[in-house]
Amino acid sequence: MAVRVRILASDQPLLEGEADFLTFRGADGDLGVLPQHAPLLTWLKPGEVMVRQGEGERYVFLEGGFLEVLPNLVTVVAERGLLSTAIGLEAAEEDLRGSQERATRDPESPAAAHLLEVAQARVAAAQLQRRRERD
Amino acid sequence: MATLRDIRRHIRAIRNIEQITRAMQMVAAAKMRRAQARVAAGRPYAVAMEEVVADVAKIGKEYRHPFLIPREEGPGVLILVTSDRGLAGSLNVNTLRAAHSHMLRNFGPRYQVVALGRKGLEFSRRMQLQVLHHRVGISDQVGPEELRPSVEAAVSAFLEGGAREVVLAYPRFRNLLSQVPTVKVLVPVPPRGEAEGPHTEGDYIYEPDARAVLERLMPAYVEAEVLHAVRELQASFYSAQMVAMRNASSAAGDVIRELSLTANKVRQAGITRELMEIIGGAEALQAARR
Repeated sequence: MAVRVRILASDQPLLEGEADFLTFRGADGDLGVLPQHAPLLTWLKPGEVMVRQGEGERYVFLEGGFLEVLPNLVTVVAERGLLSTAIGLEAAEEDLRGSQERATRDPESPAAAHLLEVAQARVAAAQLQRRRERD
Repeated sequence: MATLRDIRRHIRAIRNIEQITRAMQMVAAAKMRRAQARVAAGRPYAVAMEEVVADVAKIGKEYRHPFLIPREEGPGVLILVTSDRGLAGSLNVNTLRAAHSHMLRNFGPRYQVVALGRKGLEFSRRMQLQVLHHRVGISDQVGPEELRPSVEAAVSAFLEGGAREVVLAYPRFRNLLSQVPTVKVLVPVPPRGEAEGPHTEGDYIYEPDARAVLERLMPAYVEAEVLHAVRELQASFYSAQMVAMRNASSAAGDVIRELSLTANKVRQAGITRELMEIIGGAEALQAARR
């Protein structure tokens, strides 16, 4: 029993296929989705989506977006995202330093805070990815 | 009658034009390939966003967002996606005609416009429409951020301005030779048939809650649609421009061929005349000697 899944960024489709189990960073916290899940609608926090199919697990990093779960179809739409294998740790860390500077300069700005959150999540995802590649 | 010099000057001028149109054709072709790749890569996102919102319109009951409630009254808002420049055949004219006639039919001549692209802006001013917002010089690598102020203008015309509908018009890219003027209602979300969409009992589980999710999702849906429309325009524009420039180059070639023929005839006529004069002169001399 599997569920169809599609993860789409505004500039490219990231992942399309079937999954036995998925995890997300939902608005109210992490959530796991199995096939035949009840309909669910939420936005996503910046972070990784895990898609498990059989023995294989794939990871996609999203800067945000929306998740719609239907019993037979899971749809994720996100303005920006990329496969976790495509994140460069050094570039992500560089980006994080820039975002931190901006957030300290302008602590009131919600945009700066959002960018910082995204940058932190990207570094975390890159570190996780590096660990996975070592194992 | 034109002298040989006039004709040669004309040929040179047309050859210069041909060089320019050929160069523009090459540039448009290169840009077209990239724009085509972008529109193809972005289409699944726009389609999925549309489907999610249509699902919400169908099965979401807990909170009915204003975008899901049809309105009887109020002006129409047109998001008009055109190119900044011309030299692209009838691309913009077709889009403007389709959009304008849709708006006239549904809202009369006093509708409001959010113009993305100079051609649409100029048209709106000429028709004395109320331009709520306009944006020219959109980059080829357009992203969601770049269009956000324009989308906000349209969304707030609906939420705060009491507009009845938000309509989107753009040329949809089908292939190199065919760009289809497309006019569609974005807001309120058009209902789908009973057969389409999910067949589930009951509503979604919303996290954190229905209202908060929909208040984020609905503007994101409009953003996705507008972003995609701009990408469709860009692919359409470079295709239409490439074809227009190819036609111009080949027309220039035809004219040059014809003019060269005339030039050669004029030149030959001149030579013949001179020969006749020489022969005539020689014969006259011989006749005089006898």
